[in-house]
Amino acid sequence: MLAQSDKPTESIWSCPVHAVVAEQNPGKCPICRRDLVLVTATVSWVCPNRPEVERPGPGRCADGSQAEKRYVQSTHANHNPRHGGLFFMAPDLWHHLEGTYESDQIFRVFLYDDYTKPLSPDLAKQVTGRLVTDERFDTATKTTKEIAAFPLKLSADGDYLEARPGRLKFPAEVTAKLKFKNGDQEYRFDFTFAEFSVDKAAIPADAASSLFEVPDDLNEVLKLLAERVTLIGDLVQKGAFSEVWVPAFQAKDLALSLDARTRTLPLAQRDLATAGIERLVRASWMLDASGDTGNRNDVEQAYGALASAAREVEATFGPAAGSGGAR
Amino acid sequence: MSRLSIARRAVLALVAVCVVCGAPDWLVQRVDAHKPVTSKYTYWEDVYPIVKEHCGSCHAPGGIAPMSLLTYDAARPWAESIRLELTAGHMPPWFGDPSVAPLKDTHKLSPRDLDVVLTWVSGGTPPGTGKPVAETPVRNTWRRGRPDMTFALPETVTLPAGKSEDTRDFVLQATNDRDRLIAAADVLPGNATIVHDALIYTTTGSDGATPNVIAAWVPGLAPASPGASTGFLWRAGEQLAVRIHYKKTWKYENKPASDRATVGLYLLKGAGRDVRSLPLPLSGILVDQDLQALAVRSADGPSDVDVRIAAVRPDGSRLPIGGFSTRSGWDQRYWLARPATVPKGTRLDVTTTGAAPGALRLWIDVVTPPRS
Repeated sequence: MLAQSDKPTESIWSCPVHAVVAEQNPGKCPICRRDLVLVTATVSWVCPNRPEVERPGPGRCADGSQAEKRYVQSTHANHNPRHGGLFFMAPDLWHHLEGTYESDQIFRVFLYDDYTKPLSPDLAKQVTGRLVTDERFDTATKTTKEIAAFPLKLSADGDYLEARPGRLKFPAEVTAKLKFKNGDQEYRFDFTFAEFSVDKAAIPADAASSLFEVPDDLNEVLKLLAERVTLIGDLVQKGAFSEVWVPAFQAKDLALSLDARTRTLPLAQRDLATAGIERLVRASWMLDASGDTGNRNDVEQAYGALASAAREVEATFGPAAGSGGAR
Repeated sequence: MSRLSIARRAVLALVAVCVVCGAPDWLVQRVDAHKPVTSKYTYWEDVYPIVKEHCGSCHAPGGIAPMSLLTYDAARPWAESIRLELTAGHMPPWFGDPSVAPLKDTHKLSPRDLDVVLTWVSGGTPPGTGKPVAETPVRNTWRRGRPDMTFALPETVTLPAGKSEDTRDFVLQATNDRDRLIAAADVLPGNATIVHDALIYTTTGSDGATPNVIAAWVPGLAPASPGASTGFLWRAGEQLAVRIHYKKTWKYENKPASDRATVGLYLLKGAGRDVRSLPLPLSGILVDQDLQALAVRSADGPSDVDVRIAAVRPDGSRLPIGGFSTRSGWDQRYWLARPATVPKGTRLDVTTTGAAPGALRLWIDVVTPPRS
């Protein structure tokens, strides 16, 4: 097999969700009709009857057939902030952005591509948007009215978009509403700054949950689970969306530890417990994904699902479940 | 050990500690980067056994699903799509809610399996070092063994290139020579890539006759049966018919595709009780005789209606009967793990949450209780 670094790369048009799509031109995904986005893919050639063997270039296979070109997209994913700000991935799963509010009272949006490389000047020029610092939802018309908004303009050096909202009271809750190109859907990114952003080297996170030790004692597990749920609620309240994945994954690991105990529950409780744990696992992953994209509604919905699943789990294992079974 | 990895371990040690001491805000604020890019689970070691068992009856060459998930190269490009389907609870396509009341033949990933696959799709999709195995095409066989009676469709159905979906009804046998109790029914597609779902039913054949639905068939699930000494009655003189919903996936768009499926019946050996499907209005019904509830089923609803059915007995006690979420195109019967006793005078209550129910129709499958 060829090493990844030995392979040439090409830019192709693919779907953000269905990476199987590899087109030479922009258009719509044949599966879900999303707009195709430009991605970088490594190129190799394989023989139809031996797809597991890669060749470095085109040519004929041993059986005389023509080798087929194969594209493989690399995983994007460095979501570490570069400027001490709050980092989000856009719902198109391709654009990434980081918002900062520094002591010069300027709100900046740094834009990145799917490899978390700064967006090319051509693409950055197409991005338009505004910073909303105050908005009200009108229940009568079911619309949101913006009370205070500031245009986001490309900086002189093209490195970021900036808006000048002046001095904001902390915690500062602001929303960047962006279109990545003319005619695109507008996305909202909800930022909450507890203080001015400071451009410092970010501490990379790792598999926090893999080092997280789940206690053996059932009551301790339930207590920690309840604490995680409270902590996530606090983070959601504060708008610290990019941080919720840590306690969300810890809650998931705690719940998964309970899955092994379901067989000690009374028969009637087992399905209930498994269903609650399954919901909690799904909700933790939803919270992780919505935390990335920074949309308050999505985060709150995922948090609601997680909190409700945690209540179900607690009801089946906790003291309220009578004998509680699990010992 | 590099300085970076020492720093990471220090942060993680603090994260671990914070679980015990209660997470201080300053710590959580500093861990502001995103999830790791490497999954501890790999495709060949961890994911393949799960998808082979739970997804392989459709997500394999020749299956109804538009992609195979049975090799690393086949599955990897679908990682994001898998993540969306699993977190939304749309796959596997079984939407019973065992938390309302225990159900038979649950077809869900276990919480652990779910977490393994989600970790893999979200964490860099590593292939692993296991030896790649060749893809096994879909095994198009009777999943309950050879049926007692089989009926091939009277004709071959072709979806032309320009048509992606169609629903067709076929009479498989015009009349029945005697009463028969059917324990279960199955469909063996001629072309599994387009047979999406089916209803096998008996009917008098007259205009406006209510069909007696024997099975709501979806691919990938073995046909279930009501239990010992219980079956669906196919009366003498009635027709046996099938309604098949054909659907092409995007893979076969603009290509013609044909099918000639076969329907198989498993007959109840000996005498037994017959199952009746009672229409269950969303406003509920009052039951006028002693019954046992065996299953619940829906049709024509939009997706994502959460349905809960409960029995309010004459003594005022409330017993959850069953719950499920609707998913358009995946209507199926959900069998209760144990029959629920519904005495005369019970009110069957329906609660729906989530999406508006629209034209949703419900049935509850019941039998007369055995004589004590």
